[in-house]
Amino acid sequence: MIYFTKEMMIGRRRRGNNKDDGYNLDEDQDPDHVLQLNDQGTNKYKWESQFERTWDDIEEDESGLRPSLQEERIMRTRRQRIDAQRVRRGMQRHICLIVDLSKTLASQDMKPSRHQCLLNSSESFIKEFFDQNPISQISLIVTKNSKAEKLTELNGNPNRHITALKNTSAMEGDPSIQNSLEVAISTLSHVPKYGSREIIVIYSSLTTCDPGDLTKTIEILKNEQIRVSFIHMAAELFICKHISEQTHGTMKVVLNEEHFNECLMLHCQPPPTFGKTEAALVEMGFPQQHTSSIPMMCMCHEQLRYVGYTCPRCSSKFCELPTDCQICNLSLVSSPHLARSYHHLFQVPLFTEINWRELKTEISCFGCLTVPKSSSLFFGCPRCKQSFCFECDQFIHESLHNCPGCENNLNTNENDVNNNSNHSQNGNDHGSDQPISQ
Amino acid sequence: MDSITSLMNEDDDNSLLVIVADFNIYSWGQRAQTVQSEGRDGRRFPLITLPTFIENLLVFINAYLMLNQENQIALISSVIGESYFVYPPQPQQALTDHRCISEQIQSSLERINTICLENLDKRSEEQQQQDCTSSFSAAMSLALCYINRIKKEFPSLRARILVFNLSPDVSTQYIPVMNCIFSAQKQSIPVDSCVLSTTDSTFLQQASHLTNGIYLKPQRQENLSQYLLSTFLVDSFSRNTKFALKYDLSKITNASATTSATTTTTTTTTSSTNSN
Repeated sequence: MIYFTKEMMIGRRRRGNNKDDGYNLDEDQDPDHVLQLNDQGTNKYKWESQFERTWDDIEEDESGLRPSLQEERIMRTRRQRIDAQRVRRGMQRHICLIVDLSKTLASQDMKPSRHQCLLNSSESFIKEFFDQNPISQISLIVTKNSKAEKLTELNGNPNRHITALKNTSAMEGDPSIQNSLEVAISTLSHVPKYGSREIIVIYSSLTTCDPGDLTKTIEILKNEQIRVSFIHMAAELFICKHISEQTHGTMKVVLNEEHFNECLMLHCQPPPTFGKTEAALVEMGFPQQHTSSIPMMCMCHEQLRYVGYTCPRCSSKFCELPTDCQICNLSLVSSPHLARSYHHLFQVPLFTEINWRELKTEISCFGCLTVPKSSSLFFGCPRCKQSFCFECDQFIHESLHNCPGCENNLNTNENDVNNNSNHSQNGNDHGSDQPISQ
Repeated sequence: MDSITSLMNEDDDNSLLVIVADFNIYSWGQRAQTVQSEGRDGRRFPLITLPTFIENLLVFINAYLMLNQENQIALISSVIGESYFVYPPQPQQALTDHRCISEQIQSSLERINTICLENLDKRSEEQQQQDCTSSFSAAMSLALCYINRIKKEFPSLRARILVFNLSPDVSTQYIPVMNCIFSAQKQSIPVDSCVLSTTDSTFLQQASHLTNGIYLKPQRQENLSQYLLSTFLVDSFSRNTKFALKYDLSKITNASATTSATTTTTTTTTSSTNSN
């Protein structure tokens, strides 16, 4: 017993000393460490942490680079490669999330169980989805006992979906692909043409229990321009692959818990539009927030409140945005909601790796002033030629969506035609108020 | 009382403050021509000049560093078409400089002052029309990158950004600035803004509103340091009005006065935010 506590003390002290060296994944993998840093940045004992499949990582490591980082990088490269060119994307998305709640969810090949994994991942997905696509809507459909049931109608409130999913009983009977697709089609067919229609199916079973011919359902899906994407928790089924290929969707098979999360998160980015999409003018209201001296009834909860947003057309009051006016059916948003999805359209170019060991001059990260250490990776922005450390590279592409170096050069480059074409790719020249002058 | 102390222990109140200051020569120079701002009641108050602003800023920085031994600071200067770190210095310089933080900042700010004043005279009239915009979005991006790094090193640290703005908003920067704001909002980093120009800045109004920061446009700029000390020195934890009400700290009249002032400023920002 005493031996253990001593060992733990050593681990803690070492961590304290390492503080100055910066956060470095490589140095944390010292086998002597009993205390490890988990995702939240708190200490955790080795026996408390999740089961690690380290051998999976080693297989990937061919070029001699660090396996975990390399893997992440590959993931990101893959994602960016698809969307390198400027494409048209549907900003107002309508998604039916079909969840298989059949008995196969009891299987424990994912820790702690498939069901728990499903709940966790879909909760974080729904939150992240609405964070990035605030004017989009989700409808939740579950399938079990060979039936499909719509849990929530199309709406934009993340908490409503999450509580509905948590409160349903799971692990009963078999799922039905056809029934659930039919329910989704009936939901999505009312959606106006300018919004993109998608179905995401999280499937766990190897069988499906269908009442009729699935090919007819596929035909309807194609006619309605609905994209169906599958995420399978166990294996690749022919029918899943077939449906997703026919409808321009994707088919993913989950490798482990983290990969499951990543697969779902990929759907946060709006896919490029396909087929004929007409540009349409959409009516939207930008209501002002008012604080009244006497409480007024809000239309969404029917409660008396002081603060609220009033619809510009019919002056009815609502508690939160975005929403649809229940009286005059105008969609009410605020300008930040629209701006939030801009980064999908104007992306930061992928940085290229710099071999800083062979450079003659000393470099430091432009974003956070870190200097390279023995094992650190550095990347350069192809547009502004500034160098960034791995942390900043990740942060810039995943959270910030701005390259600080390119922002700096914004004004000096404006007269340069070459850079101006880059600019419009980035979308920084918002509007055409600056004519290109040679 | 026990619960207060336990709360205090739980949350280390050391914080990181990233100051984004606008040292745009053109904007400061233009102010020299219009020296006075008009108050609400029609009275005129003198606008602050660059040397006095730097003095006031130094007072504020010193006060902030004295609040807590572990407080950290970063200062980013945004000038025309460029943004760079004033403090911490570039790593190559940092090795040779052994002075204390406030001295380092002071010397670099004085350098900025002299450079600004020199360039102000040289700058020709024709140039002024073209490129006179501060790269505010770059400065915000740098601030967020830096916070991201420091947060990895010290997870318990509370970070916030304080922006001193003078130049008018640039519409071409709308998307990058909104990206910065959303990123700050996601990480719950408050963006406080202090606008020294005579007109309001819609970017900063949105930034402060969305991130629960304070938006302040001081009426009497000659008392800037007092505004700074009473409004922006308070860290985000102490600002929490729930905390203040729960433990009945409102007995202290000064504290309640500042909190009510902040709530009014935030509500006034909301109406203009949504009209955009």
